[in-house]
Amino acid sequence: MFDPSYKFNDFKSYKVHAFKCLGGLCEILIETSDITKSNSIFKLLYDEAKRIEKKFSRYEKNNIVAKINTAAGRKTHLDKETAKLIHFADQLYAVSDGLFDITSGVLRRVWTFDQSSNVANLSDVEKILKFVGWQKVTLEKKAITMPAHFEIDLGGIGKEYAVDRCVSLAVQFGTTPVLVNFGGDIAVTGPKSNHQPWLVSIEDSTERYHLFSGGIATSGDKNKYLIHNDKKLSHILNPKTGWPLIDAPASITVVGENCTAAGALSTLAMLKSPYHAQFLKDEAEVYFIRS
Amino acid sequence: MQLKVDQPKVLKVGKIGRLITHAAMALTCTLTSLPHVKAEASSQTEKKSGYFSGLRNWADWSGEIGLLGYSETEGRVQAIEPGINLNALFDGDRNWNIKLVYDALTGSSPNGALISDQPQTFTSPSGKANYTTQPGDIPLYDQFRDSRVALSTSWSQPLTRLLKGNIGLNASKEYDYLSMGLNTSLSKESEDKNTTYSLGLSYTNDSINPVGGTPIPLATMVAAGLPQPKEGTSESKSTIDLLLGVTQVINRSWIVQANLSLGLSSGYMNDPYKFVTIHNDTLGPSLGDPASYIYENRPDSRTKQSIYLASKSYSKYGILTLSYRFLSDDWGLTSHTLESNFNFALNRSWRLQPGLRVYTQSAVDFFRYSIGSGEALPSELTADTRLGDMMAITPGLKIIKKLENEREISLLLQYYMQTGEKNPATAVGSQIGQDLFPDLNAFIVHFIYSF
Repeated sequence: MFDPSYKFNDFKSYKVHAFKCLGGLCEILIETSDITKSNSIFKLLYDEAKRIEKKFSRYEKNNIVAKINTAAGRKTHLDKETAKLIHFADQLYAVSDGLFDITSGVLRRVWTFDQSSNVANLSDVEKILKFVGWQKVTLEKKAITMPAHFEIDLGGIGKEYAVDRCVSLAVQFGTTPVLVNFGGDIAVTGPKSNHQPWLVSIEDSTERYHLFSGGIATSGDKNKYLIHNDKKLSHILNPKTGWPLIDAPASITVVGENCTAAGALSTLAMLKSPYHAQFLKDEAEVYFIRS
Repeated sequence: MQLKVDQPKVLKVGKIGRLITHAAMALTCTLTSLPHVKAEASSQTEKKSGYFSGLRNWADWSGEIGLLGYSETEGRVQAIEPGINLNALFDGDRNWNIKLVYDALTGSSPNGALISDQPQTFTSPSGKANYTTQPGDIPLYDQFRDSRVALSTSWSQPLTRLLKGNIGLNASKEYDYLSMGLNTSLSKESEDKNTTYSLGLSYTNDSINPVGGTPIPLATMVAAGLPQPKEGTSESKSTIDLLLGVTQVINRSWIVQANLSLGLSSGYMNDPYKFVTIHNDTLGPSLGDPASYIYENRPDSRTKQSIYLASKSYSKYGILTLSYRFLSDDWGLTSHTLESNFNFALNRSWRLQPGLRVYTQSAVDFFRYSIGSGEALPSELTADTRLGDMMAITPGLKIIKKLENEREISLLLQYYMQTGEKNPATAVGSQIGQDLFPDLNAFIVHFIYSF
C-alpha cells in the first residue's frame, strides 16, 4: 500500500492509523499492543473506506453514482448495497417531510460558502431548483429512474455509513476494541478492553462524552457560511427553497446506536432549524448543539 | 423491576428517532456478507446462528436458559429447577416475554413438631400410614416429593411517548396447588427521561387440595387408620398486590430506585401438613415431653407492607448494587433484607460478582415452639419455623463469561445459612438442652446461559 497521506502513531497499547479519505482526515484507533494484529485490522478497514469512497463518491467517473447521474431519464439497476443506501435516503426524505433530499446536491453549483456575502443569484437558484426534488424520482426495489439532469449525492450519508461498515468489520475480525473516526464522525466496536468508555471530546466545546458503544456524528461546519443582511447563512440548503438555512446552529452533534443513525439525526435536526432543539429533545437520546 | 445501568438497550427516543435508528442499524447489519469482505474476515468470524436466527426478521429475540440446583444439607430438601425465559422485541419498543420453569423437589421437610429426646410417631397426611422420628432428630415428613410447573407471559408496549404499559398472566401447578394470576403495570417517564414512575397491580388466586384433605384447624392428630380430623378437600386464597415505584437516574453512572408495596391476602393460609407439639406441662419427669400434636391455624387475612430501596452505580472498578427491603405485616412479622453485590471485570471476557445477602425476621404473634397441655389454646397458632425469629446469611459468587454477540454464561454459587433461637426461654423440662431451632444450610448453584 502506498498512500502519501498515511500516518502511523504507536502509543504502545494503542495504535493510531490516519489517512485521507472520504473528503477528510480518517483515523482508526486500535487498542492492541500487537502491531501485526493492528496492521491487519487497519488494512481491512482502510480497504473498506477506500472501496466505499470509490463506489459512492460523486467525483468518480465510473462508479454507480456516475451511472445513475448520467442515465438521462433511463432506469438504472442497483446492486444490493447501493439499493439499501438509496432506500435509506428515501426513508429520511419521508420522515423529514422532504427536507433531506439527496437530489439537492446540484444546488451547490450556485452556492459557495466562503464566509463572504456573495449570495447566489435568485434566478440561478430558480433555474437549478427544477432539477431538485426526490418526489420526481421513481425508486424501485433494485432500480432508480430520475428525470434528466437530476443528480444524486450520497455524501450526506456515505461517510457515516463507511464508519459503521468499518466498525462492523472490526467486530467481525475479533474482540480488539476499535474506534473509527472519519472526519469527526465516530463509531466504536464497544467499550475499551478495561470496560471503560472511549472519551470523545465534542469539537469547540468543553463537553466530553463517554462513548460505550454506537456512534457520534456532527452536522454543520463552522467555517462554511455566508453573511447576508447581518444574518449568517448556513451551508445547509433547504431543498424546497434552494436557499441556505438562516441562523442555524453552527453544528449539532448526536450520539446514536451507530454512526449512520447519529448522522441522520444530526442532519435532520439541522434541517429542522429553528426547531432543531425540540426535534432533538424528542428524537435523540444524547446531543450537543453549538450556535 | 430490575435496575440495569451498564448498557441501555432501547433508546428512549421518539418515533422518527427510532425509525431512523432501525433503518440505520439495518443498513450495516445486513450487509456484512459482501463477498470480498467475507473472504478476508471469515477466519476470525464467529457468527451468531441457530434456531432463532431465522426469526430475527420480525423480532429481536433474547433470552435465558437456566438450571438451578438447591440442596439442603443433612438430606432435607433437594430441588432441580430448569427454566427458560424468552423475550421478543418488536420494533425496538414492544416486548413479549414468556417464561417456563419446572421444579422437581425431593427429600423431607419439617412437619412443625419439636425435636424431642423421645421417639415421636406421626400420621402421614393421607391418614393411612405413620412414620417415626428418632430422639434428637428433626421431625421430618420424608415422603416429600413434588414437582411444579410455572408459566408466565407478559406484553409491554409504549402507550404514549412517555407512558409504557405492561400486562401479564401467570400460572403454576403443583400436585396439591394451583395458582393463577394476572398483573398490569404502567410506567411513566419524566420529560427529561431521568425519572420513571411506576404503578403495578396484580391479582393472584390460589387453590389448595391437600393430600388427605384439609385438617380441622387446631384439631389433634389422630393415629393412622382411624377417621382423620379433616373437614374438606379444597381451599382457596386470593391476593392483591399494589406497587408504587420511582426510579431516578442521578447521572450516567448512578441509578436509584424506591418501591412501596402493599399486599392484601385473604383465604386459606394454613400449611395443611404442619403440626404444633403440645408438651406435657405438669411438673415431674415427663415435663416438656410431647403429649400430642395439633394441626396449625393461621389468620385468614394478611396485610403486608414493604419498602424497597436500591442503588446501582458504575465506577471504573465495577458495578455496585445495594438494596434494602423492610417488610411488616399484620401478623406481627417484620423483616429486613440487605443485599449487596459488586460486579467487576477480571479481563475482557470474564467478570466476577461476589455478593452477600443478610435477612432477619421477627416472629409472627402466633408463633410458638410448642404449647403446654394445660394452656388454653389460642385461636391462631403455628410452630412453622419459617414464621419464627430467624436470621439468614447468604454469601455468593457469580462467575460470568462473556461470549460473542452479547451472549454470556454465568454460574452463581451461593450458600444459605439460616439460624434461629436454639434454646428459647420458653423451653421447659426435657426441651431444655435440645436444639429447638436446628440450623438450615443449603447450597444453591445456578447456571445461566443468556443470548
